[in-house]
Amino acid sequence: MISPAQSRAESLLSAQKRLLEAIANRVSLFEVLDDLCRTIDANVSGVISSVALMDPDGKRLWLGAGPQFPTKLKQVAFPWPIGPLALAGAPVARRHF
Amino acid sequence: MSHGLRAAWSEPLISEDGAVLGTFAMYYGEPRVPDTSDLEMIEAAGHIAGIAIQMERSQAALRESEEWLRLAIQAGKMYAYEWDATADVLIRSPEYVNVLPATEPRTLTHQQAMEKIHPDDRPKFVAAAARRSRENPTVDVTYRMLFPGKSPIWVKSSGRAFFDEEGRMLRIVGIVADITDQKLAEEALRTSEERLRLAQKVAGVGTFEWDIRTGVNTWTEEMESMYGLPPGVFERTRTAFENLVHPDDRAEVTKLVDKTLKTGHPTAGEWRVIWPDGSVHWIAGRWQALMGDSGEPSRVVGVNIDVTERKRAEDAVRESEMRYRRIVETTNEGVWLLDSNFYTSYVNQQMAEMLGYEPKEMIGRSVLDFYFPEDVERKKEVLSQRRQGLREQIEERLRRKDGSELWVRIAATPVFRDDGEFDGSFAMESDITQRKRAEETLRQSEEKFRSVFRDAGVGMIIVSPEGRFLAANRTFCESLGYTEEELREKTVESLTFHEDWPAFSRKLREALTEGRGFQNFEKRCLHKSGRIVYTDSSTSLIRDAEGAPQCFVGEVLDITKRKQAEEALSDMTRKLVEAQELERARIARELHDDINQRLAVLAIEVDRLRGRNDLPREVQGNLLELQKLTGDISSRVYALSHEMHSSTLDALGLARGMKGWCKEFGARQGMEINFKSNGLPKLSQDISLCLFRVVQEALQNATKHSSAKGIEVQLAENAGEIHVVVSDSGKGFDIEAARRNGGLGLTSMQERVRLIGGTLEIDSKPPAGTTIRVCVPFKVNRVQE
Repeated sequence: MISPAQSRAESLLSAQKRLLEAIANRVSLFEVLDDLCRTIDANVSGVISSVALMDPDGKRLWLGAGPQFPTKLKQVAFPWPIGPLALAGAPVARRHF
Repeated sequence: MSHGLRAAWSEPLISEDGAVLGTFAMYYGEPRVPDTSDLEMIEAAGHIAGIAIQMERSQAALRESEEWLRLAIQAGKMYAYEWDATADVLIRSPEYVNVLPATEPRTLTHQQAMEKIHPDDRPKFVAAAARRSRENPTVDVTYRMLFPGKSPIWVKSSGRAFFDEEGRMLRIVGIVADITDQKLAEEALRTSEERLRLAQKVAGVGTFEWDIRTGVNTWTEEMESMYGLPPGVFERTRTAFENLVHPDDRAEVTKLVDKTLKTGHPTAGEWRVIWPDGSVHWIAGRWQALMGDSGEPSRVVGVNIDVTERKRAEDAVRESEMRYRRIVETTNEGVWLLDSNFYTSYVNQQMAEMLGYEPKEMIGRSVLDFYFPEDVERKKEVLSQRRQGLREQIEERLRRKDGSELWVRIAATPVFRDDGEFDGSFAMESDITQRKRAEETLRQSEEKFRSVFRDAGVGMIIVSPEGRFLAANRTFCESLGYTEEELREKTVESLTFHEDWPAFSRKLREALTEGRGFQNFEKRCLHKSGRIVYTDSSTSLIRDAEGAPQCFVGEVLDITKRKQAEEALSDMTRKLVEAQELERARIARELHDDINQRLAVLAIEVDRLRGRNDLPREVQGNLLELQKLTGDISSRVYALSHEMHSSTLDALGLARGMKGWCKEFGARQGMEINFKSNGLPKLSQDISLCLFRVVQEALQNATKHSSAKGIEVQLAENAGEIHVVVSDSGKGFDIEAARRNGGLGLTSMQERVRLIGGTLEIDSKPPAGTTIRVCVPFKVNRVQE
C-alpha cells in the first residue's frame, strides 16, 4: 500500500528526474518551467505556482511560467518592478548575501 | 485579492555566482503557511528552475561566445597558446602575428605576458585567473594589450586549465582573439548613444516607449521634467499620461492615441500640460506604433518637445498681426501687399476704393494691371530692384478701373522671409491726385509766366533780395549786352552807374522794408561796353508763403533814346537860355552904358538950357517938364537894365541881390514882399542866375495874376541843396490849364531849373494861393569865384 505522501514523493522524484533530463536535452527554458509549475500545481491542492525571471537589467521581473496564473493578474503584475513597491504576496526577490 | 489568491510564498532563485535569476512563487486560494513538505518541495522546485535558467543563460552566453569565435576566425585575427605552468613557458601559435606586432616573441614567460596587459585590466585578469578550478577550468577574460607606439589591442582570451590529481595546475591551453574592432564599435555606439542622450537633454527632447503588451510607458527624465515631474515619479501608464494633459486638450490627445493604436500610422499633435505648480506649458509630440509579429501594435515610441516659447511667440505674432490688421483697416492710407511675384495678396478697402475696385476684385491680380501701358516697363524695372531690397518713397500714377488717372504717393518696402528669400512687397499709398492737378495748374501758369517773361518786348528780370540776378529775358540781356549766364554772376549794383546807386539802393531797401514794389524809377545802367544805358524800372516784390521777400520781378525799359532826345532838347534849351541871358546882358549894357549915358547927356543939356535967361517963360516951363521926363526915362532904363542883368547879383551874391531886387520890385509894383534868407554859401553863377530868374518870374506872375497883396520869398540852404519857396495868398490857378495854354513863364522856369539839375514844384489850387518850391543841389567844389 502506498501512502499519499509516498505517492507524492515518488511523483515528485520522477518529475525531478524528468525535468533534469529535459534540461540536459536542451528543451527550451519556458517548456521546462511550464512543466515544473504544472507538476507542482498537480501535486499540491489549492496552489498556483509561478516562476518569475529577472530582467538582465536587474530591475524588473518577468513572468517566465505560471500555467494556472490568472491571465488578468498577469497583465497587472508583470513586469514587476523590484523595489519598495513590492507587496506581500507578490513575487518577492530576496538576496541571500 | 480580486483574483482569489489569498496567500503567497516566494523563493528567490540564485545563481552559482550569487546573482538573482528570478523567483519561484506559490499562491494559495486561502490564507495558509506552507508546511515542511511544501517547503522541501518549493526548495526542490526552485533548484530545478534555477538550473534550468542558468543552463539557458550559459547556453546563450556560449552561443554569443561561439559567435565571437566564429567572427574572429573568419577575420583571421586570433591565435592559440599553451602555457606550461611547471616550466612557465608560454608558446604562441604562428598566427599570433595577425594579432600582435611581429616584433613580439613567440615564446615568453607568464610575467612577460602580464607586462603586455594594460595596467587597468590586470586586476580583472588576475581575478578571472583566480576563479579557475578543477570544477570550472575554462575562463574567458577580455582585456587590452599594450605595445610601444601602438594603439591598445582589445583581446578576448578563452583558456582551459588542466590539473593533476592533487589539483595542481599543469597547463592552460587557450585562444586569444582580437576584438579591437568590436570594442571600438561598442565604444562608438556608447559614445553616440551618450551624445544622443545629451543632445536630447539639451534640446529639451523627451523620449518615451510604451509597451502596449505590458502597458508600461517608459519616460526619460527629460520627458518627466517637460511635464513638471521630478525624475522617476511618472507612473508609467497611459492614464497617468492623459491625466497630465490639460483638461481642454485631453479628449483630443486621447483621440490621437486611439488613432495610433488603430492605424499604427505616425501621428503628431500639440497639447497643453498643467504642471504641479499650476503653470501651463505647450508640448508637441510625434510618435509611431511598431507592429509586433501578430500584426498588432506592440510598442509605441516617440518624442515630446516643449514648445511653450514658440507658442508664446506665435501668440504674440498673432496678436500683433491682429493689432496691425486693425490699424490697416482703419487707416486712411491705402495698404497694398504683393506676393513674391507681385500679385496682389491683400489690399485694404481704402486702396481698392482709390482705384475704384472692390478689394476682392484686386486679389490675385498683378500689380502691373493697375498701371498705364506706357508706365509698365519702368515699373517692371523698379520691381526688380525691389526684389533686391529697394525701399522707396515715390509719387506715381496708377490707372483706375474707369481708366482715369490716380496719383499716389507710395512708401514701398520689400518683405523678406527669415531665410532671406524675397517674399513680396508692402506699400502704403495716399491719394495725391488733387494736389497733382493743382501742381499741374500751377505749372501751366508758371509756364505762361515764363513765356511772357521770355518773350516780353520789355526787359524783364528776377532779382534776389540781395540784388543778385536770378533770371533775365532776352530784351534785357540785349539792352545791356550781356548773356543771361553772365548776368547771373552780376549784381544790380555792379550794373548801376555809381552816381545813381545810392538813390536806387535806398529805393530797393524801402521796397523790402515796406514790402511793396515801385514804379518808374529812372536810373543809368552800364552796358557791357561801358556806355551808359538809361532805364526806367518798375518792380514787384514776390514773397513766399510765410510772407518773407523772395525776389523782385522787375520790368526795365531802355529809355536811352528818349533820354538822348531829351538831352538834345535841354541842350538846345540851355543854349537858348544862355543866348537869352547874353542878349539880355547886352541889352542891359546897351541900356546902361549907352542909352543911359545919352539920357544923362540929354538931361545935362536940358539943365544947361534952363540956365539960360533969354528963353521965353513958357519955354522955361517946357524945359522943366522935359528935364523931369528925362530923369524918369533914365531911372526906368536903369531899372530895366538892372532887371535884365542884375549887377548887384554879381557884386553882392544871390541873397543880397535878390533882397535888393525884391525891395525895388515891391516899391515899383506897390506890393509888400517879405524876403527871408539864412546864410548861403557862395553859389555858381549858373545857379544864382537861374534862381534869380525863377524868383523874378514868380513875382511877376504873382503880381499879374494873383491879386495878392503880399508875397513871401524864402531862400535857404539845407543839406547840400538850395531851397527857394515863393508863396502868395492870392487866388491861385489851374496848373494844367496854364501849361496847356502855353504859358511860357512856367515852362521857362522848369527848363531853367532842370538845366542845373534841380526840381521845381508848383502847388496851386484856386482859391488857396500858390506856392512854388525850387530845390537845387549844389556842390561846394563847383562854386566858381
